[in-house]
Amino acid sequence: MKEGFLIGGGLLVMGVLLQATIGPVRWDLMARPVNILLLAVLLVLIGVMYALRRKVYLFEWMMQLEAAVPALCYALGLTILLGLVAQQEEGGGIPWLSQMLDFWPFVLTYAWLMILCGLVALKHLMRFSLKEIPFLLNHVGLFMALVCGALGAPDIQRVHMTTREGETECRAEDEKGNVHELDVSIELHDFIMEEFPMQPGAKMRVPKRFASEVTVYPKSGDPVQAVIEVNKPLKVAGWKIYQYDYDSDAGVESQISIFEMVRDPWQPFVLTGILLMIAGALCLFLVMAPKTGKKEDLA
Amino acid sequence: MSWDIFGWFAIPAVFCWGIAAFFAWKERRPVALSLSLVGLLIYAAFVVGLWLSLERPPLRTQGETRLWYSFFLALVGIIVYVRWRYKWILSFTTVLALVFICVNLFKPEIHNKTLMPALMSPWFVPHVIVYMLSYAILGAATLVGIYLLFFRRGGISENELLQTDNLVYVGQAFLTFGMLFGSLWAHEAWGTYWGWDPKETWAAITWLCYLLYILFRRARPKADRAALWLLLFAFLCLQMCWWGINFLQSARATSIHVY
Repeated sequence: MKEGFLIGGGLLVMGVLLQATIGPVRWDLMARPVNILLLAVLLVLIGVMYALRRKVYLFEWMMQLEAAVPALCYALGLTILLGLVAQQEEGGGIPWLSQMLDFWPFVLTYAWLMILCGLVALKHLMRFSLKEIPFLLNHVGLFMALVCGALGAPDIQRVHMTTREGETECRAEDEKGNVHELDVSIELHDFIMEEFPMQPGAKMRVPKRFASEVTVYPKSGDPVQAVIEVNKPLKVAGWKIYQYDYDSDAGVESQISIFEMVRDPWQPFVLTGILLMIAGALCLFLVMAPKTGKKEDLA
Repeated sequence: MSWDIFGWFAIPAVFCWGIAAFFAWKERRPVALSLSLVGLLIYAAFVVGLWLSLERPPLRTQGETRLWYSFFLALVGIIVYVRWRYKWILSFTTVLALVFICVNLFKPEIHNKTLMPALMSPWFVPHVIVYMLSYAILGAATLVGIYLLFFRRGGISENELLQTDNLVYVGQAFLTFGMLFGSLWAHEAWGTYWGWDPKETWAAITWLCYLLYILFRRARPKADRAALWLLLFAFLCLQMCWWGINFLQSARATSIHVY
């Protein structure tokens, strides 16, 4: 395992050097098509490494637990650091560590872990049999969820649309405050807010339900009439529309409803990864747990 | 049916489970199993009755979710008992179920407590219940680990370590369910699968720790003490995730999971 710890340490040093010279990881530069290219490169790289495994000892070694355990140790260590140091917007807090997700050593360590994970998944895929299914579910699922989640993040469009009762709106504001004209517009018919009855000793009434009766008009296609609620988003023309906010000063009388609208082109891949992992966990529970000789004599 | 008569169902159910747990220790499997099932049926009768009288699934209030904790704890205790024949599991799940039942019996005012709209999701109950269950199982693994590390004279046998392995595999499976149900829920509620909220970060740390244990055991089957220390460390991370972050200054201000 020494080699593994050396490689992991090397990645840390390399990451620190990168951080010092070119600055933090710029996720925004990885928006489409760069991320698709990166994914292609990653998959080809894994394929080539697998093909050359007999010629290059390193590639054979990368498929061993000897490589995976140290890689996991480094990922764990950096994630603990992420958990201990309060994360802040760019420029705030402890240099580098308060923006851990843009910290090169963090990103490189996880990239290394994912290369190992993809490689070992490919190895098991190439010698496929029914017995390999649990292993494949866990590894392919993790690979898909993490890689597509990270690479797809810059492509996520997230905007807020403020609508008034009786009016139709098609403009929305992104996180930086830029206004965009969208390819869907929303007409708000009614904003509904229900409250729980006054609790004894409580200072104010607690909201029970937020909902908006709307008609959504996509540029192409038929209008959709629906009720959007917290935890009950509406999907129209590639957008997912969430109940986000209202005029809190007006409370129940609010004439305004604010929606969060998200378009995430990588979402199906991340979702597939998550579902594979859930199936894999089920296998972990049912078939992968080690068999013991005598099951009864546990202290 | 209402909460006023909860005790009339809960106490006989716990009584059945308690006797069943006793018979499980005595290796009387058929008796233990049938008594567990009888207890579960009595308990389920109350849940169904409450459901019908409320005319909605009883999943909204804290008291109602505790009702389900106890139900699932008992159910999973039975499943694990059938699958792995651990004679202690029924005692463990009975005590835990009893704790939640007692809270509902002695703190009935909590039944009226309201639930914020974001928590009103079908994911809420499975998310929390599988987490509680995995914490319970991993707690058991930790107890075995402490026993083997500090109180065991002589070497640790291969078979004993396989027991902790087994518990960790099951615990890790439920940890994965909890984490991923949470991410699916977050996606339904906010449109993001993962936000690196402090609770989420520590959930990931806990998950990575137990994953490391699983891989390390396969890589170095002979290094038993190192594996057990790792098991203890993993449980410390789990505590951090469960309640420790409430005391972590960095998490307090920003976490959506503080309650």
